[in-house]
Amino acid sequence: MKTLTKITLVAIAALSSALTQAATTSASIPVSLTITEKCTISDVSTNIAIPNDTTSGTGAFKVTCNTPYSIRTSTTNTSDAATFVKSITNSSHKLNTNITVDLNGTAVPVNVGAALSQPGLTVDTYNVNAALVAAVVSTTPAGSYNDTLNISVDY
Amino acid sequence: MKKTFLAITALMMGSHAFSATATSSIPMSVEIAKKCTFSNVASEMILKEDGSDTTAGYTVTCNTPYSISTDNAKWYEGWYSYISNAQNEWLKTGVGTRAVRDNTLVTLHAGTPLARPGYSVDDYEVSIHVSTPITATTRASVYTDTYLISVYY
Repeated sequence: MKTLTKITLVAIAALSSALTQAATTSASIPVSLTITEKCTISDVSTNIAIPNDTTSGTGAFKVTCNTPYSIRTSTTNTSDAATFVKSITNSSHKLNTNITVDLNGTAVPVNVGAALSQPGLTVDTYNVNAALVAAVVSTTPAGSYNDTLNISVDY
Repeated sequence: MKKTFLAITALMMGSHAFSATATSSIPMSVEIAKKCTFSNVASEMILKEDGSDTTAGYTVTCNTPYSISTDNAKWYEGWYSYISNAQNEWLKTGVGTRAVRDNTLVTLHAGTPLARPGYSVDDYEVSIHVSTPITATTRASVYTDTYLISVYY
């Protein structure tokens, strides 16, 4: 029994010594990835053909952002919030239009109004509708009339 | 004449009988404590959006055998490491560390630390990349983690 006690004590002493000598040193390196804010406008309709009656011609475009953004639109031809298409051969020939832009039913301002805010992080498809306010009549000057919808995304 | 010679002989013999040498010693020793140090530790690892590897390095100098393991501060239940942003959105990462000397892979996250012979200056290279594809709708943000190194000796 005495011998066993001695052996135990020796073992404890040895273990204690080993534990005393064990050491750890450590270091660390920070890891990071910065994804910069980015928005793209894609799949933009090449042209919207407006019917001669008051039905709408349609178009669309997509906005893809990895951050919240706001969107607004404007037309090249505008006067006092009204929009119109203009004859390419005679600029005095104008036909008033009704232009709407929406995202799943939520209106995007055209020419006037506060920009529409969106959370981003999705591919948002916007619809464009363009119609004449009054149908073309028999005395409406023949010709090609046009306008341009401009899209602006801020992020 | 005879008496004088005998007397001198006796004196010389008496002198030999009393001689002695005293000795002593002083032990001398030097104890070199076990020590491991890090140096040339990269200040940061900046990942790339395209998922390609970013490499960085560090050096371990030990005067004794040692073992080494690495880890990341962010792990999902032992399955994979990740980086995350302020919104706690995760992007998986892939991490690997090799000893430059012999291309041995260093233990990552779990398992027995890699044993090394020590008595040397050992360079290690870390490769890390984002394995979750970064798309156009992945939130713009700063995603972070910390790469950890432990040396046992």
